[in-house]
This record gives sequence, C-alpha cells and structure tokens, in this order.
Amino acid sequence: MAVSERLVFDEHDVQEEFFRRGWTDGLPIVPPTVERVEAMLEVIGADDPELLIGYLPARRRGVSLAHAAINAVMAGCRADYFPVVVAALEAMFDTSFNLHAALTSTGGAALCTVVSGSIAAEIGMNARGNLLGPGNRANATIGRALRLVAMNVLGAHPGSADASSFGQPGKFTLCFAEDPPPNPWVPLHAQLGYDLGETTVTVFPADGPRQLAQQLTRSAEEILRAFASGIRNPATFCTGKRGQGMMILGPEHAGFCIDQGWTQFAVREFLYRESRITPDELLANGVQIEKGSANEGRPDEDGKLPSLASPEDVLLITGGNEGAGWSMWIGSWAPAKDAVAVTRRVRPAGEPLPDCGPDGCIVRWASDSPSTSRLGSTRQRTESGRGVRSKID
Amino acid sequence: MPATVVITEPFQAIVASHALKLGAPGYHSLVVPHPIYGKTIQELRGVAAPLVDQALAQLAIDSQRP
Repeated sequence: MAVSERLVFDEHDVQEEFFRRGWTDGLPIVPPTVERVEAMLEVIGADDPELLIGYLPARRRGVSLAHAAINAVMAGCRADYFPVVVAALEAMFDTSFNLHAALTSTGGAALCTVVSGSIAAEIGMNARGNLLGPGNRANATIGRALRLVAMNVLGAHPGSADASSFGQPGKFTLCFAEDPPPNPWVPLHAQLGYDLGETTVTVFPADGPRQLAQQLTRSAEEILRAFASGIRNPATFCTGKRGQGMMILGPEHAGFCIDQGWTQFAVREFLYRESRITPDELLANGVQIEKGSANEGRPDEDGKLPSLASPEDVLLITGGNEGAGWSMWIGSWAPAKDAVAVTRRVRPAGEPLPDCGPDGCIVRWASDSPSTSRLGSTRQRTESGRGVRSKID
Repeated sequence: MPATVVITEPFQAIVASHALKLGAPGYHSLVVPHPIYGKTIQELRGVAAPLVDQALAQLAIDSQRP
C-alpha cells in the first residue's frame, strides 16, 4: 500500500496529536498503523487501496478503500467488520441518500446503520439488549467508522462543513443488527427482496431515536395506534411531509402483532395511514403550514398530510430485549423526496470486489446537485479519470 | 448565470469554508440578521431593501467571471 504521509510519534503522544489535528470525534482513537490498515484491506481482497468507494462532487472529496480502512482502524473496528463498513459507505454514496446534505444540514442527521442477515451474528453484532446502547464493539465501532470517514475524509467537522444546530448522540455511532423476527415474519433484507442467505446493510440519515412505550395493553392495534401518534408528533420536522423511518418492535409488541395475525405489510400500512395528520391538528399545535415552499405537504384525498411517504417507507424490524414493553422509532431527518434509506449487500470476507474493467465504472452526473433517483447502484468516476467501484447488485 | 447567495449571519464561516473547498475562496454573499424564518412579507422586504445595491453589484461581478 502506498503511504502518502507517514507520521511517527512516541506512544504517549499519538492521542494528543490526533486530537490536536482534529482527527477524532472527541474520543481517543486506535492509531492506524500500516499493519492494522493492511489487515483491514486484506479482508476484502483489495488489490488497489486507492480505489474510490465513492466521490462527493459538492465537496470535491472521494473516499478510497484506504481512507475507509484507516478510519475503521481508528474507530476500533476488527478487520472482519470491514466488509460491513465498505457496504455502508457504498450505500451512503448513492445519490438518493443525499450524503452532502445529510452531513451539512442544521438538522443534525445521524448515519443510522442496520445490518440484516447472518454476517451480523458472525462478527458479533448485538441485536438484543441495549440495542442502541453501549457495550458491543461491532455496533459501536462500525457506526463510529462511518462518522470518522465523514469528518476526516469528507470534511464534515462541527463548526466547519457540519452545521448541525444540536447534533445528537447518534452522530457518535448509531449502528445495530436486526434480531431475526419470529415466523412468519421475515428479516428486513428479505422484505427488501434479497435472498434469505444474504446479508445487507441499510443506512439512512436519521433523526434522534425515540423510545416508545406501550405497557398496559396486549392489543396490537392499540399498540400500533399509539406508535403512529408518536410518529405524527407535530414538533417533528417530517410530520406531514412524507418522510421515512425505522420501527423497531420489541419482543412483546412484535409477539402480540404476530399472534394476532398482523402481517408486516399490515403493520407498515397501518403506521403509514394512522401517522397522517390534518392541517388543523398542526395549526392547533402551533405549527404553521408551509405554503409554496419545497416542504409544502401534499395531502391525500381525504385532506390528511402523510408523515411517511408510503407504507414501504416504514423499515420494520424487530430487536431489543424483553422488558416492560418498549419499542423504538427512528425517523428520517428529511422528507423522502430529499433523502432515503439505501441498502447494499454485504460481500462476505474474501469475496472479490466487482470488476468494472480497465476504465473503471462510468459516471453520469449532470450537476453537483444530487438526484432523487432510487437507483440500485451508483457508479462514479473521479475527476482524474480513475475508476470507482460501487456495489453492483 | 450570475448568482449570489443570501445567508444569515451565523453561517458566514461555513459558507466561507465550503467556498474554499469548492475553489471559490471569498465567494460573495448577502448577509442578513438571524433568524430569517417566520418574518412577515413586509418584514422580509425591510430586510431585503438595504441589500439591493449590494446584490446588483455582486451579480455584476459574477457576470464578468470567465
């Protein structure tokens, strides 16, 4: 691996130097030695570490496999986590993710990252207790790696090119695994059309997670009705603006739904329908209705404003531990017209990267502004003409 | 096409940072007090009126860029 700059420090100076240079998220890092970075790259069989995973025209910055490996080491990732990190970065560079806006916005989006499939368990991810909390290395460091890439490679530093007013704890890390649901429900990757034996990573720019409580009723409809009312919170930006979100049903709530015959489709459709809000309800709660702006809501035929773009824009998974009756809602940071969740298959360790040929893969972008396409893959070329490999389904 | 950008005061640093990264250091802008949202049409006209000459000057400069 060609090294552009080699820094040599005494061991006790490494942390202070990385802090001084602004290369951390405020927490200590694992020094990215050549050996550690090469071990990371070896897992994915990277012949050319300078190959770009993606390029962001609005920032004129690209993320190479080497960049990703360096920041994954710094985050504390084990080498076998790296295929998930690469797949997540590929997802983020899909134009429909709107990465530049997600990293810049005053709204403070987290890079919510969810792994669905057997690789999650193989690398030791947590899908159960403290799902969004501390204690699991894979959960903590994979999400952290994505944020370090955003800061160190794409320049999304607070106060500089990251204009978040508040940010949120999820900007340190927000990464977890799906707990495979009981039959007849199927995992997220199967819901999205992938083979059961595959593993996917889904990334979306997310608002802060909101814990949901339903602890006195066993009625699935009552449970979901309360959760829908939580989604259509008037003070949430996407309420009435057709957003997306992830509903993580805890074991009790998922069990009641399944026992009472609710399909996953029915749950998504119910949440979509019941999270719509009337203009009067918004006004009664002090929320002005935007008129003539890009965020003006488009009502359904009955005059209600959808808070979710469609039932398919509810990413429904199960996770967390048994408890008093908790679930979790993670809403999108922006309406679906501006940014959406993107999913990519995780290549198992050792599976070669796709071969795009000697000229690399073809890019076609008309301007620096992101498209709203929901393409399955994105192929990009750098200004230097070097090829970029992207996930090809 | 000649262009400029209207920003509120707190965003001057981030705009300057982006301009530098995009190869346009010192790119011009029209700076208004923060926050701008929620103002009435009349209030917005009051904010914009003093900036007209500056806006025209910036657009004229932009139209002369190669």
